[in-house]
Amino acid sequence: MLTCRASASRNGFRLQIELEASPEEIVAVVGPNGAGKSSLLRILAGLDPVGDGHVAVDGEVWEDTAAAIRRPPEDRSVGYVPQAGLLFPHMSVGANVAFGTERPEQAAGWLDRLGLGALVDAMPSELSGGQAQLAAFARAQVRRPTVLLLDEPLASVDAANRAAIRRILRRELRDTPGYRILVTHDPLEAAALADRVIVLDGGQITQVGTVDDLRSQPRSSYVAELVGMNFFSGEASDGAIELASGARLVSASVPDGPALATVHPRAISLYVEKPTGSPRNVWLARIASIEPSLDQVRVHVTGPIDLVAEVTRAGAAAFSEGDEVWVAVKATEVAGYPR
Amino acid sequence: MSEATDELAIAFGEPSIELSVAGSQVLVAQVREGAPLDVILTADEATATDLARLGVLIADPIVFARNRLAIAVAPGNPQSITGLSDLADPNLTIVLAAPEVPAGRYTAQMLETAGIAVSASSLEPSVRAVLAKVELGEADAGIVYRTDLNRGGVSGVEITDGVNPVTEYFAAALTTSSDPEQAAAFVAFLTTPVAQEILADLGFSQ
Amino acid sequence: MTRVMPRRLAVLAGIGLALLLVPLIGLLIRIPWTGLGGDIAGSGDAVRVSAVVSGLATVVAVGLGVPLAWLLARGSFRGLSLLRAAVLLPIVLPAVVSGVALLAALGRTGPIGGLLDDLFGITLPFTTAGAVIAASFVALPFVTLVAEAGFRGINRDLEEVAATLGAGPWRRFRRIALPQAIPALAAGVVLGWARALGEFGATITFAGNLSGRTQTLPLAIFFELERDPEAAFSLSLILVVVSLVVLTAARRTWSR
Repeated sequence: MLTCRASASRNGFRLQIELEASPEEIVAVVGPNGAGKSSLLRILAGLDPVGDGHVAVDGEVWEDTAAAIRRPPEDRSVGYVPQAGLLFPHMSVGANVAFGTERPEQAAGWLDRLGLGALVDAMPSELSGGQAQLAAFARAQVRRPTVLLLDEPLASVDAANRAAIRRILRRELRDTPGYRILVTHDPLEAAALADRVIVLDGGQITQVGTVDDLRSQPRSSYVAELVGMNFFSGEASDGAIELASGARLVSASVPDGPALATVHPRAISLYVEKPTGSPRNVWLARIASIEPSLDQVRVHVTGPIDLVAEVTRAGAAAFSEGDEVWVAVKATEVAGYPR
Repeated sequence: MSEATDELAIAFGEPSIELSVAGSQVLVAQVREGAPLDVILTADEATATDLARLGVLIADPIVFARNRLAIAVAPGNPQSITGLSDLADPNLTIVLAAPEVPAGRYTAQMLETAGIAVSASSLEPSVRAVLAKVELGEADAGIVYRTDLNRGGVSGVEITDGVNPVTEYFAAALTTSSDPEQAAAFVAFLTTPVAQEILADLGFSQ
Repeated sequence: MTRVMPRRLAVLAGIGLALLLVPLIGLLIRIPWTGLGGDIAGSGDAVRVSAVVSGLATVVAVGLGVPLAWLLARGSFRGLSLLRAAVLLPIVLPAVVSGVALLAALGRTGPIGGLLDDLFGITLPFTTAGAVIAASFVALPFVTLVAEAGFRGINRDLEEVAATLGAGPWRRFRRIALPQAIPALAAGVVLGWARALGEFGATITFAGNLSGRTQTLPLAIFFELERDPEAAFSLSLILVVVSLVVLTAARRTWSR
């Protein structure tokens, strides 16, 4: 088991976390920029102090402020893959990967395994973002670390190659024994690579769960935004959630009491005329902005309830910014759950 | 001689007169390049001759003071040095003026005439530097001018007149002076009793 | 790109260039080419002493200056900036002052020098070792200054990554920081050697002047000026030529 408790001041905010990880699952730490995700990795790697707390791995105490123990990074069995790889610019790729080990043949093995065998004598400046990232991954793995840490592993990979590198990483992470913790701001990365997600916001852990948990029951507007859902918070009674603005959302099933609710952007219908029929949530709103996406159009409406709807291009053709529009959401599409 | 010049200039009544007391060859070089000097005072007869040959002297140089060499030792003479021959002791650290400066040349000649071989640890660029090394305790003894012993911090050991060369100081007014008349007047002043008393107080002989 | 050099800068740069080149050219013109051979032949002792002293001083300055630079660049303790100021002091001080300071501490009557004399019978003034110490003292700050700038310019994140790969402080210095700082260090070596070679004030004050033992080329030139100024020009030529050769050979250090 990996346990970490940290309470430290960082650049103006306070990092306050307590987490556990098991070697059975790949953990993604997700959060907005400046939330402390990279700080958490640095603490686990031993690059920054834990402040007031401890880090323990498989019974070994790596850091404990109460006992005045702090193992430097070179004495921890940790593999750290930084953003953009951070290969040593004055060494060849092969020398980079072999840096942490006494046995250079292991380095060659890793390069071949990741498809970088031909680059063993190349210099880091000649590599693409994706190649550099994989080389850095190999460099960290050569030492067979107990804890593998990856900081935004796909951030420096250009969009065209991202999917391919992601597939390789997913395969490698699954084949790696030991603890694997990665940090990302991209929900797609988290979904593709991780089993469990920890949400870090403002230095605090605000939600923990699988990707499905996050998607179906986000606990903060940040997470909701991340998974692309409209998010509401209010007081529920008899199936209706009263929001702070006074407006009410009817949900098919929500227990009484403080509640949260999500509505998928595609479950929202927009009409020029007031619609008749079954939807239990209907109201008049105004179109604040229309934003074309790759295959859909995102329409942001304001009114008694603010939300974002996703409609087809054909569907959006009838509307312009500033227009009045009727919004309809079925009660079954309002997923409510206790706060 | 440098301390003397300030007093002499004040006594003459013209404290700002341009008196250049430098190492000889540098002096000649400066004059040749046209430095606007008024009067030159030098212990080096060769310098005076060189300048005369260059034609920059208003009149022939005159001798206005004399000096002799002496041994400078640490206060109290801890090494009990009594004369030149003691300086040949290889266990002593001796500093001399470099032969490129007048004092050093006279020192070398004196030692050769006296037949004493001194292995100096350093040949300093000026008598002042020799004095400093003895004063600081870095050297056991050094050969300086008798006039230098006046400044505290060292004790003096006399060198017998027989082997001790006389240094003559020459003065001459230069044509490069901005006021040649005044320059010549100063040279004349140097042989007056007032000037000679100042010089005697500092240790110079007549 | 059109004309890069603004006119007013070009004028100032030209004046600066003239200020530096005119004396050099003047020297070259005044060299007594007929007597040159004899003058140079007579300077063998001074050349040898200069070579030995400046070479050893450079080794000392680099061997001690680079670790000192690493301390200043990576250290984080109170008084660090004060320490840096003290280390760089000899650059600002006149060399004579450095010589006086060396005498005060390492002279026969100084606290350290006296101890060396009493315990081991070693005296440093008036010895070649003393000349090496004087030259090292003035060269060391130059090496440290340039090396520290070099170390500061390196991405420290790389050292952090190296730590996670099991490299302790020595390996991080030797395999990550040092190789990247080589251009700056090379410039420091050249600068330090140049300073050591041209060193005069501290040498003559602390080590004294004796041909074959402590009389370096700059000292020889100074005394030659008293004796035979034209020969001084010839000896100066040696220094100019040697310096030009080394600077040309080391020109890569500036351009990289």
